[in-house]
Amino acid sequence: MKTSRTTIARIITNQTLKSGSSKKLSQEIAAYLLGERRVGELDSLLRDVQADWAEAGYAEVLAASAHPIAPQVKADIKSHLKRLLPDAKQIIVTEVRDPDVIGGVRLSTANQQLDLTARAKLNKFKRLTTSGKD
Amino acid sequence: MNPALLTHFGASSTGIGALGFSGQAFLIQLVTFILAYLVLRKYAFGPILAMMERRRETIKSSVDLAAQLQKEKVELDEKVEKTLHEARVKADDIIAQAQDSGRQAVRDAEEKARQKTTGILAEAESRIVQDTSRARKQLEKELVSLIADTTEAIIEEKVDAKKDAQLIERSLKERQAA
Repeated sequence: MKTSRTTIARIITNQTLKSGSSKKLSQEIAAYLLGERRVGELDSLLRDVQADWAEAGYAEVLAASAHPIAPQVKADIKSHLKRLLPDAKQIIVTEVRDPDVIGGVRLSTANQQLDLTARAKLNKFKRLTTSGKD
Repeated sequence: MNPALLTHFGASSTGIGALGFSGQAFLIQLVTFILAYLVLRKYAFGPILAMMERRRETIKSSVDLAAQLQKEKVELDEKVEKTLHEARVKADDIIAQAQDSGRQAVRDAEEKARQKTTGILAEAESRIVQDTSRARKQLEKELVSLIADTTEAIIEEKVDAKKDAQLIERSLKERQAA
């Protein structure tokens, strides 16, 4: 019988919260997904793990930016996130390099997103200037 | 004429005889006349009169027939004239109706053509307005895309890690202020 994605996410969450992430755990998860031909569910699985972490008080936030984020800026981001996520015991900011954002940063949790990128502003500009003109 | 009688009347030279009248000759002539009359009356007058009566009747019937024919001709002429008049009136009516119908058909055709032309013009105007509006919107969209693409290119070129950090800091501050 096929194990549900939420069950797998719960197992991964328990493992990582108990022993932290390790190369061995990552390899085991990858091998399992390949063996079960469920590699396509990886993004959803990671979101589920993020959500489980958040429930346990550990908020992982993906910070997508075009350039490496300076430590000072990362600290500012964390302090800002603490105000947004007051229930989180710990906030983990994971950097993701994405040149498409052009400038600024996009902060994503399992179920929220705060887009402070130049790309988002340009999209908003396009949307506002062309809305109702189709 | 009997020569003896002529001699007799001519021989008398006195009284009425002087005038050349002889009673005997007169008497003979009277008898002859009466006999002729009686014979004619018996054998000729009847058929002649009958024939004359027939001719009279024939003539009368011919005259009556002619009168009748004349009367009928007059009536027929009147009838013909009346029929012709009616036909003329009817023909005039038909022509007038045909002219009216023709004029009405022309008016209808003109009205239909006018409405069609108006419709075509309105449709063309509407299409022109729509096309213009669509072209304007397309132009605006393209202009916005061009501005966005240009801005994106400029930002990509101008923003380095340091400026990106400043950009993030400013965004966070604006967010907090909001």
